[in-house]
Amino acid sequence: MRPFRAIVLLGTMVFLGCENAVDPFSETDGSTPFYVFGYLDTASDTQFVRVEAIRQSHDPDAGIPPTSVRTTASSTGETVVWRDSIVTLTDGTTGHLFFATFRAVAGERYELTVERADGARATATTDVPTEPQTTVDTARVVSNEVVQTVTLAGMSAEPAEIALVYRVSRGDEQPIEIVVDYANRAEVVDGSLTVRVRLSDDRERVAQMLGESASSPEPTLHEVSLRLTLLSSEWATPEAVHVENGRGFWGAVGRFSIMWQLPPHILRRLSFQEPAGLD
Amino acid sequence: MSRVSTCPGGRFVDLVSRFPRSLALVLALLLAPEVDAQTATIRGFVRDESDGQGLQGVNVILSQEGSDAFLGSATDVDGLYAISRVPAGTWVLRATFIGYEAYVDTIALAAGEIRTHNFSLVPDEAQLEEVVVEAESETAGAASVSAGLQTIRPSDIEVIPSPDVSADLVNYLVTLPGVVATGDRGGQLFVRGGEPTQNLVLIDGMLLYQPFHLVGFYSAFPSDVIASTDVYAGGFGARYGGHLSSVIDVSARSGNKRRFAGAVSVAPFVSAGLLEGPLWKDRLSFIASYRKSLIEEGASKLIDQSLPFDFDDQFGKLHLNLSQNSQLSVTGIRTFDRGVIGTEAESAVSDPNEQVTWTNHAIGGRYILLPASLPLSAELLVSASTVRNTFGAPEEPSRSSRARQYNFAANLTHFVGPVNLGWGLFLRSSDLSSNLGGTYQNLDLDRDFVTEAGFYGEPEFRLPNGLRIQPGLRLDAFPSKGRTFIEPRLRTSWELGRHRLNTAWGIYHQEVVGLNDRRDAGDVFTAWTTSPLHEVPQAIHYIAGYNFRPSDGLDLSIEGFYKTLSNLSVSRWSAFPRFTTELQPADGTVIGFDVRAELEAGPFYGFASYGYADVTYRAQQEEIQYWFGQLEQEYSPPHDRTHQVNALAMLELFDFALSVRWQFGSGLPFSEALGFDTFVLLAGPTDVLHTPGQTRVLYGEPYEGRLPTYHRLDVSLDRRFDIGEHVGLTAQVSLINTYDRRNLFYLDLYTLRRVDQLPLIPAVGLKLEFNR
Repeated sequence: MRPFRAIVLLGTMVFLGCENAVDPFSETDGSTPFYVFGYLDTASDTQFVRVEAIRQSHDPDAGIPPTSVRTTASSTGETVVWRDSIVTLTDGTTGHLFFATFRAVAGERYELTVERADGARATATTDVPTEPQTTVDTARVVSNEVVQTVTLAGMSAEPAEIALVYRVSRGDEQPIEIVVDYANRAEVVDGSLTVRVRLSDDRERVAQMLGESASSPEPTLHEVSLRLTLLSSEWATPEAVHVENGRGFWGAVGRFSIMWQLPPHILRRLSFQEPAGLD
Repeated sequence: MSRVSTCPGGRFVDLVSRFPRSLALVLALLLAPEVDAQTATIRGFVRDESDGQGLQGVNVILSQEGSDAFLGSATDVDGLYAISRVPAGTWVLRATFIGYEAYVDTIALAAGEIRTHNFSLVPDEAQLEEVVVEAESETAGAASVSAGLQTIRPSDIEVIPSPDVSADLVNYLVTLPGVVATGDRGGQLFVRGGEPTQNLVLIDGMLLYQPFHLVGFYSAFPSDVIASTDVYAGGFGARYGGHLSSVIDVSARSGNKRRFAGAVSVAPFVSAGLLEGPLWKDRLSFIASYRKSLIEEGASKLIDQSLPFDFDDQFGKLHLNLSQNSQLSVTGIRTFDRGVIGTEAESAVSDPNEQVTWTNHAIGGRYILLPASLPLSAELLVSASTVRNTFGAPEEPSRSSRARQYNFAANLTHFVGPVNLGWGLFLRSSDLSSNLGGTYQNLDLDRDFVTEAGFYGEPEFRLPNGLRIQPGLRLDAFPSKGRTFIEPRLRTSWELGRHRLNTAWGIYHQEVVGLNDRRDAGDVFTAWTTSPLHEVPQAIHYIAGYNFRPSDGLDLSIEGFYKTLSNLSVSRWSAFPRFTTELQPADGTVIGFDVRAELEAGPFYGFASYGYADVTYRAQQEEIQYWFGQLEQEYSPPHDRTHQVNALAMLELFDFALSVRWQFGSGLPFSEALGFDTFVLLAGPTDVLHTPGQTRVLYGEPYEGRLPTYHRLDVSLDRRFDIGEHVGLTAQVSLINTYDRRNLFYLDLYTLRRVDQLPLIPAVGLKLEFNR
């Protein structure tokens, strides 16, 4: 500010600026109407999002509630109108929940639109993670250990969850799933995730979980699968603003499972029985 | 620091008359200071005959019969003067000071002699001889700023109206145009755009971390214990370092060496007592002061509002004249503050979970020596300073911080004719510990030890044409951090009759910093740590000023300043609930100017000042773009007061002293809110159906709003009654915020509470003084 203007402004303030009221809110036109909290989940048949009005009071009911929530799939143009409900949260308070029955498609872009009666609107867009291209190498023996490499191409970020699932059974019992966390055993390099599956190590874990002893019969390994949870880019900065004309978070979760079976000689080496029908 | 005066009509005695030759000679003399055995040096302490304390600003002049040439010096805060390069012979020494009888003596100096000549001046109230008090006129007085430096005397402080008959340094500091206070609570002073923790506050060379009390009228420095205060609003010389913004260097009185004296005062805000006297007449004296707030018991009842503030301070000093050539003093100080800043006036009780406390302790020794065989003065300082700061419930504070510094410094000044060659060494060790309770999420503060060692050199060249140049260089090393800073400094002053031009420039670093969460004005908790983001904050100051004295009694000045700031640590503005955040780096600039006028005419005294400042911070962090759409966020921090006006008028009539002070400040920045929502922290896929949220205030862009303007009128009327020969009673009636302006202290966006500053407060104070 130039000094002359400063002096003029000062004089104005001294003689006219006796107002001491203050408005704590920067917007009174409702241009930031909604807070959104939710995400799409490829593993769920029903999608949920909580929406509430941003208000100028602590009272959660003080704002003007939304009247319409819908999503539109970018590639197909298909629009789904969500239904609303009031749910009781774990602390006894209530939340305004919208839900819709559909399964989010991997690789699809969805736009969420929230509107209320006076026309105020907030939108958010998310890309559902794409299922990676998977290559499962042949299991081999290295230094007396059985290992297998699984490569996932087209990965943009570290997975939120990565685990090996061993589906095993003993005798005539129903198969159970034994999950071995691989979160710290894989990393994304140049868009590819390479997972070195340590089958021998995992076999010991399976034995522990099954409570095997020297006299126990060998369990049957039906299949091995890699369970993967991928998050949309919004999860990298969950505190950031992801909603246009609003606040909050709107993202997507892709949950994928890649299943394969081990050949008989590997199963025998790992002291597993072959499942029926495996040749 | 002694100065050589150039009185009107006199001719500076020097061996050369032209500048280049003078400079060459000065350099030669500096390189071989002991070469000239044909001249002598005279130095000593000038004291007040009535109390034996050193007198600052006394003109000491040597002259010879039949010559209009003279040599001269003015005493420093210890009463020390020194005149070197005095040709051997018989000289008349004359010392003058307003309000004292002139001292005249004949001195015979032999070639090569270094003479220590101490003497006292006798007070003479009736004698107001016309004298030039150069040291005082240069930087003392409301309009006599010199490249950021202003000297504040107790008499300056005492004219400022306050709700207490005992004056306090902070009441004067907040009248300075570049100083922004948070109001009448908080104890935060921002000097020319700097943060409070960037101010170096010293008393007798000891560091005080948080010297300003919670209630804005009080600091650790009652005027009764102050001899003099140098305030550098910027551009300070190489002697000072480790802080980015300013220096407030308080010199305490040494106590009466002739008789006992004291004072007791009571007022609705504070009760105070002071005692001083000789323990060994003319050799050893003491001075002790104690103050205790009465706000909860007094002022709160007076205005029927909750004022949950408590503070006290204790000060003590022993001063010993060891010999003709040496002095030793030991100073100790303690301050304590407790309060809840954000309590609404109407609230009956305050939330103990928001209670802030801080306690300062400092003790130190100061030894001054004039070596018998060398033309120099040496000052040795040893001190220890501690501050402890807590926030939260008293028995279990949620945040706490402690800082401790051990300091050793040696400051020497060689007197070499027109050159005072100052240099010094320092060694400091800091012990810093904090428990922040998650306040700064990306900080893992626990305990840190820092050792600092360095050197500075600061020659002051006084050239015959009125030009004074003081280049400086400070070398500051932190071995444990692997860092060394080289900080050049420069101060100049050019006297041209009634005109004076001043400039200052310097580079400054601050390794030990104080962290405050400025998102909340009610939160004054300070955590002390080493540079938290691993880059040391730096400032570069540029100052240029002009002083003009159109007539005796009238002083005018204008001074511009520009600062660049880098590697600051500021709270990251994010969507997370308040009180937890990350720190982010920021840079900044400060630009502004001050205009001051001071008038003294008969019984009237007054000054007025206007300050303009524009403080801009630029914070860069990846996350900023997610909120505000750009990588860099530029904003005005919450202490950016653009316009500030101060005016004071005092009239002394019929034993009454009436003081009126008006202050005005344009609105401070604050962050407006968009509204409230119910926030759910997402660390990963979360149960949308059942997870509850937390009510959150949604902030707009940082500090885009401005609070209302601030203005206040304070009035006080004093009358002194003499009760016998040795006892006096001063009665004061004061009105603070006379027209009951509802000034906003801060707005709590989370609760939408408005907290106002103090309303109209009428107060009566009494002060009983004695001396025997």
